[in-house]
Amino acid sequence: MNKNKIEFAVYGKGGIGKSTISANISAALAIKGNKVMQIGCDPKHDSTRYLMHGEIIPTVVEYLRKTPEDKALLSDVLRKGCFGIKCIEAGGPRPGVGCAGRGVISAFEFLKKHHAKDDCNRILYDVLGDVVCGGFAVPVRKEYADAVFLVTSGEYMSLYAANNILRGVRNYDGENGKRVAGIIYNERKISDEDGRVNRFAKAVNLPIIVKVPRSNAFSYAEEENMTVMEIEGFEAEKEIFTKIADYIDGQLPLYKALPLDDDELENVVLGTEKRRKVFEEKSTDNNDLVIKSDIDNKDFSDSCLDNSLKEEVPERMPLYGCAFNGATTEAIHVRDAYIIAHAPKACSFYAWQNITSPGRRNLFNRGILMPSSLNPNFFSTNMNHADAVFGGMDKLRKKVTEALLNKPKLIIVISSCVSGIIGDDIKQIEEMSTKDTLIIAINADGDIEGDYMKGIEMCRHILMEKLANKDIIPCGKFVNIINETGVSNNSSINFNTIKSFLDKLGIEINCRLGGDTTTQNIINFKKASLNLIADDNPTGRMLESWLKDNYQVNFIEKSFPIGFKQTVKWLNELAEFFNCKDKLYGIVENQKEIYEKEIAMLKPVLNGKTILMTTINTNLDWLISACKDVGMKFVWIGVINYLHQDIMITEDSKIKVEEYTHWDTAKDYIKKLHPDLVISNHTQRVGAGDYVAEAIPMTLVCGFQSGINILKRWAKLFETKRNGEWMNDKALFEKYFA
Amino acid sequence: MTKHYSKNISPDSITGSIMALEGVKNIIVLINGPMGCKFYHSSTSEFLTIRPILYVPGEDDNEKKPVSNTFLNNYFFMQPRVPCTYLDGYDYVYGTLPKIKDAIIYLRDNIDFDIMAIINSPGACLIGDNPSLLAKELLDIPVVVIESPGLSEDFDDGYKKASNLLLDSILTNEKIKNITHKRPLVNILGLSIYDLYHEGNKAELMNIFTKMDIDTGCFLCMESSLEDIKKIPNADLNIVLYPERSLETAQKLKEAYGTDFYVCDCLPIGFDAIEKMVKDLCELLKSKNYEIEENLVKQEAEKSRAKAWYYINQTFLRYGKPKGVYFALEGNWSQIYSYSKFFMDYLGMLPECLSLVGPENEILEEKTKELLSKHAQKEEVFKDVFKDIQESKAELVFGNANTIASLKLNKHIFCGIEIALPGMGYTDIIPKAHFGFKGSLFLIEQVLNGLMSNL
Repeated sequence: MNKNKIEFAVYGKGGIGKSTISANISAALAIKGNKVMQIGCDPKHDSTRYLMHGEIIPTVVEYLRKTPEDKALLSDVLRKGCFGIKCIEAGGPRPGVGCAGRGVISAFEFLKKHHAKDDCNRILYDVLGDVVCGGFAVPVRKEYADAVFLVTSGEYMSLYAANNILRGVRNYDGENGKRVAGIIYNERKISDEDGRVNRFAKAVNLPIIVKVPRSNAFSYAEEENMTVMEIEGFEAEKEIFTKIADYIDGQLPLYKALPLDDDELENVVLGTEKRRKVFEEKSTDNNDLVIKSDIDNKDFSDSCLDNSLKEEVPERMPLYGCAFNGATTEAIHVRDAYIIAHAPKACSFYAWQNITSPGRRNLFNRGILMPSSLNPNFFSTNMNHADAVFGGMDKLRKKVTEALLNKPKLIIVISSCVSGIIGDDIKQIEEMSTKDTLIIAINADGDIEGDYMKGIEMCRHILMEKLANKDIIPCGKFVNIINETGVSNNSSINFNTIKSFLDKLGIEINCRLGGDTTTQNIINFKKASLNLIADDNPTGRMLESWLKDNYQVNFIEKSFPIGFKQTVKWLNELAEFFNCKDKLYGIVENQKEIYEKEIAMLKPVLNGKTILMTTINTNLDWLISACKDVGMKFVWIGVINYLHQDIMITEDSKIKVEEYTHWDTAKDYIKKLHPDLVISNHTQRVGAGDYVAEAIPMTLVCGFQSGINILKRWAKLFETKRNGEWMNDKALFEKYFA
Repeated sequence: MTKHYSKNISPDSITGSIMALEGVKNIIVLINGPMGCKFYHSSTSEFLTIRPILYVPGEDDNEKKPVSNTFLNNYFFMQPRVPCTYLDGYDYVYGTLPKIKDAIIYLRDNIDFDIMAIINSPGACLIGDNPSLLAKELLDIPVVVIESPGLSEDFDDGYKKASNLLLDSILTNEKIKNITHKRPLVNILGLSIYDLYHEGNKAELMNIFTKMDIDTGCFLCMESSLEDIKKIPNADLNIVLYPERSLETAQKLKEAYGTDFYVCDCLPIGFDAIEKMVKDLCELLKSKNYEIEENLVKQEAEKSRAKAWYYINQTFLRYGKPKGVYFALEGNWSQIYSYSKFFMDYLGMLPECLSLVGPENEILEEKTKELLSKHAQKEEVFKDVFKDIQESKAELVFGNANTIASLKLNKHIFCGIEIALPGMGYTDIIPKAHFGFKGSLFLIEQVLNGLMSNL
């Protein structure tokens, strides 16, 4: 017996009896000593009913709806049926809403994440074959089903569905793939049924593995809520399923999917004349159908509205931005790559705006040209409705083929929510890689995979996994820079500051992961002996941890230094690593003199002043230490943790830091603590009060004097009139424009 | 594979619909979609028009402001306009109606508004949820629902769809009774707040109509109120600018209310175009004769031409320009034809590149080709003029800031002049215009200053 794990899908038209057949196949396989799992992929979720002796098990889709992702357990949806067969029902949304195909995809992702299939060697997917949309086609994707069985009767619609499934398989496997095991013929006793099925099998070049005749055995088993395999007697029927089990456990020959076109199918199954007759009969019935359809729609609409009004929104944290946009914004930094968004124009346009906005601002305000922001190699498939209905892979292939003509080093394909929902499998595109061009697919699926930061993370991880050569031995004085903030105005300024430090120390930059870079630089990532984090945020720290675990690389502990003390400390650590502290002396002493002189000048104005801060930044020690030097004191720091990540504001445990989501909290502290200065980087409208209100930017300027520059501005605010008179004109705005 | 992003990546029909509806006063435009679909539209809309701010982060001291105290989840997400239902992967499986319901209830109970629009995002439109029933159940004001925003369709198509649905949701089949007007009354169709200098353009049109003793009723989707829209059927004439967006609307209004419409030969850019529009309207509406000396529009036209002559003449005497200066232009057919006509007929400039972004329009394309033929001494002079703007070597480039900025990376020296959004990052407080007499003078000012950089 073949002990290897075999996953196979049993496809058939709804109502054809595929669930009955599937359950009996599972039972036969288990009797032979296999460890079997059956996964029902039909929204009506009754695939495993006979295996469970009538018990209806919870569906994965419904369970995930009610259960937060981090609390979901496999044991809540997995049941053991007869012969120890593991039973799962994917389920689906309420009829008429949502996307059932998308539900199948979600269920499969859940099973994969929880290693549901790990200890089984036979996995059967019982799949609805009427609609072979991207979602229902998931089991025939290569990572799931090794073999596909078609269950059909001789009825035209049943054969039509079987042929459609062959089209789906062909779509995934191309001309040369072989994954179809054969036909399971479930007899319905219609005229010329054997002839029809035989002709179809011959035309598509597939064997009829078994014929399941109409038999009382199945109705008896149905009454008993059992499989035929468990019931005494009915030996002939049992032998059929044992034969299928033997077939699977044996050589399991596989065939190419050779679907017929519609005309061929008609000729083979019906013959042209009969087909025409069927068409005419349907046409005659059309009016009745329309009237009935209208009534049904009304009933459905009312019931849909009632349900919607009652339904609660499940508690899930909102996702800020989408993974598609994050991945795209990150990918454009690879200068010699072509980025192809598999998306409607709208999604590509939002990403484009995100990419080009800092480029335009820098050009307009500062005269800085940022090539990757102004003219990235970014293209879109511009998916339309036809692509959404029929799948967008052909259009994507065409776009990739066009791109390949230019022989870029790398093509990165990123999926949007539209391609994700319809189930386009962009991973297939990687097979189009050539000797000149590597193709990498990033399944961001819009926001289905997560938020903007998740997209950035996905892009970095996938590029590293696919490109970076782990065998390279670090050599020379090279560093990598990781986690630059792409959409910030200050990123290029900060890079230039750090580069000037590195130049003075004789250290070269190898790769900027998240900044302007090339495919080759990522391949050579391990050439650098040290890695520098640009921006200190949870995404950067997660990347650091991931790189350490997977690439065994060194990191300097702190991010790009902001403020005097941090810069001194950071440069010392860097110089020590590369054994060049002698080159540091002149730089630090000079800056120290400037810093101390400025502090002395600011002290008379700022000494003793109190600060209250509301922020979405992390790590503010650079500011806190400058404030301490000048004699200022933080009375409260409130953090809006909008990305729902771990936060670390200061190492000073004496300063009170509080996470909050409610503006009243900050207002209460302002009233209670009477700060001299209220700082915020998300709003200037902190209400009326006897204090100075001030903003700090999202991305800070690094270097020795960052803290001093901010203190100098505060000193000016304390020395001059606090607010402009424009603030008094709010009432006029209300009068004329509200 | 072209790197001309505008052919590939430009605002599409959902942006056209959102911006058309954001141009209505006191409306809430709710996107039924992920947060990623709202950020651009909210931040853009915020800077395009001056109006009541729906949501101010942190500002809850004013009782009139219906602002939630919760930062993280009140559908606005720290932006002042265009709330959204923040859909995620789960909603695509289970449906989006519960979130739409909650959003409608929150907005209804906290914000005063006259009209609500709900627009499905590209992802949401695939799963077939229809918010109409919910909205009608929960609201007793006009509701515009765009179930399918169009995937990768043109901006102008989205505008057209939204403006037509807006009228369908508000107008009854009869004119409002008992409203009489002594002076001719016109509506303006086709303008959008997403057009560069829209505020100044509108002011210029109003200035011209006022001088013609013509009243302006509704500037559809250009800060028009519910009341303005309700009165649309009462107008004597509907004026169509940008036929790509509004010709169909004018035809529908003609069919429903018998209101005649006038399609401008081109946008009112340049003196000839304005004068033609004014003369035609005088005739159609039996307004003041344009040709008489005391006609205020004629007076302004003459003064503007005189002023323009002085400055153009100074440049011409010194440098022989703008005659013969090559320009590149990117826009929809209305923009291509209107700007080119002014530059070629009046300033004597020559097109080096004309690049279409937007739907096809046979009439405007034909007019543009006729314009080129009129100016070409030989047939082949302009034969390659319709091309990718990234190949342009023209001295003046007219387009949006993305196109201008990307061309700056090329080596040739040129001056970029914005005629469409997105802009370079400049916030206009004083309204500028390209329409009308002031607009024509401003455009001449930009051209002359642009030439200075290359003399």
